[in-house]
Amino acid sequence: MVVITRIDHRLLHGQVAFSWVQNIGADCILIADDDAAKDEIKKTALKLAKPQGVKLVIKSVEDSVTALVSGVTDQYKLFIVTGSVEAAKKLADGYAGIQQINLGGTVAREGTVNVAKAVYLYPEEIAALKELHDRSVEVECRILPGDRKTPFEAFAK
Amino acid sequence: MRRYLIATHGSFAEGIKSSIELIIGKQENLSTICGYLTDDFDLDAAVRPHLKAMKEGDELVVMTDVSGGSINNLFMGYINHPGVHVITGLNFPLALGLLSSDENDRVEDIIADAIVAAKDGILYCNALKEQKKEDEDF
Repeated sequence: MVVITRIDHRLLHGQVAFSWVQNIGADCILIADDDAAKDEIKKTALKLAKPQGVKLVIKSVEDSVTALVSGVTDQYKLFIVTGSVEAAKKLADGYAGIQQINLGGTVAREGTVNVAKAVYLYPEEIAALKELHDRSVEVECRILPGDRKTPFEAFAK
Repeated sequence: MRRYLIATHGSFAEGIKSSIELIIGKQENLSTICGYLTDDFDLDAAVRPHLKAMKEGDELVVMTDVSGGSINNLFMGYINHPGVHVITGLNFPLALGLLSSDENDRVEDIIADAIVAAKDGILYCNALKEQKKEDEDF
C-alpha cells in the first residue's frame, strides 16, 4: 500500500531518505522519475541515499503506474518519491491508491508562485493539484515529517 | 533513558551535530564536548557531569573522534561504568545511524548496526559505476 507520495525535485536525499522513511515506517521506496530511470549515474547516486534495510525501486512514471496497478506493490509499505507535480498527477490519475501527496520541494522558475517554504508552483500546477484535492486526495506541504503541514486550502484558493 | 555524547578534539563534535540536525532535526538527547579549544580545557571536568547525571538504568552512548587520541583514552577509563558505551572513529553515517535509532532497541544492536553503516558508508564514488549493482524490482 502507498503510504505517501512526495514531490521533491531532488528526489531521494539525506533528509528525505531518513526522516520520512522512518516516520512512515516504509519498507520500500519507489522513485517514479523518467530521467532517473534511464540515467545510470543518477541511479547510483540515488542508491547511495537509500537507508539500510529498505528496498529501492527506480522506474519511469509510466512503468510505476503499471507496477502499482498490477498489485505487486500491495505487499509493501510504499513511499513514492517523484520530481514534479506533473509526474505526481500522472501517478494519482493512474492509480487510485494514492491518497496523500506531500509537496517537499520544487524549484523556483519564472512564473511560479512561492506557496510554502521551498515550494514554487505554476498556476497550472496548482490547478492540477486542485483536481486531486477535489477528489479527496490530501495535498500538503512539509519538508520534514515533524514540520507543521501547510494544507492545500492554505496556499490555493 | 538513553543519551548520546559526541566528544572530539576541536569543534568536530559541534560541527557534526549541526550536520546531523539538518537531516533529522534537533536532538534533545545529544550533548557535545569540543576539546582543547582553550588552553585551560579540562577534559575530565567536562565529562564528569554527564556521568553524574546518569540514573540507574540510564545509558550513555559516547562517540569519540579517534582511537588512541586523548579524548578516547579518557573514555576508555569509563567503559566499565554501568550503561556507558564508547565508540570511536566517528563519522557522519555512524552518528546518523545511532541518533536515528529506536530507543526501544537494545543498545548493543543499534551500535552494531551503526558501525556497519559507518564502515559501509565510506565509498570511492568514482569506482561505483564500474561495479553496476543490479537494479531492484518489486
